[in-house]
Amino acid sequence: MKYEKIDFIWKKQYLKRFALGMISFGIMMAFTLFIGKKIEGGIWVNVIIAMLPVIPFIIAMSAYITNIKTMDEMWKKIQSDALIMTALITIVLCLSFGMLQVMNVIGTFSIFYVFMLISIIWSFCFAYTAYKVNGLEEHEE
Amino acid sequence: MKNKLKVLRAERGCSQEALSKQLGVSRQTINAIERGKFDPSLPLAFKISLLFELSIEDIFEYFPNEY
Repeated sequence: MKYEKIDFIWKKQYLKRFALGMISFGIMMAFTLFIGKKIEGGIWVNVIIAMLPVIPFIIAMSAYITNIKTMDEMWKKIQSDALIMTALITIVLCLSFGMLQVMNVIGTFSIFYVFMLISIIWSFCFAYTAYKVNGLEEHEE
Repeated sequence: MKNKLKVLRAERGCSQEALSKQLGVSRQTINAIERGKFDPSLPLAFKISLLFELSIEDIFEYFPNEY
């Protein structure tokens, strides 16, 4: 019973911090993209406005890292395998796109897309590594 | 790695959920170990052997050709 209570409280705190971070990130992102860009205040003001979404994102990621530390060994392995796969796939894609740009096959695009790419690739890699270990079968007694 | 965890658990009338709480891992970990999809670490293997009062070799079967 004590294990359940501690686990539940911990999960709640992690979810609160993660959710707060991600919601703040969304709000700050919207502010930067739709309002911040119109503010004229010089280079340092632009830097501060640009970094506004980054701070809550760091808070959300710190909650994610803390949660990984509390996971059991199997889930830690699944997470680390997913992150390794994500890193390798992203490296290959960035290299490929970079070479295509060098050969003028495609134009340049914002580095911001790498962030979105990593997020999407990680989702698939995590689903894949979790499926490899757990499969899709239901609760088994 | 093949193991007798499911049989031992059934003999003691213990659910995966209950066993997972005793070992401090998730139920999915117990499920994965029983199906041979995940090999436990040494500390976890020792915890399992202490819980069932058997040696690690009596619970887990190691085949060198698997690796």
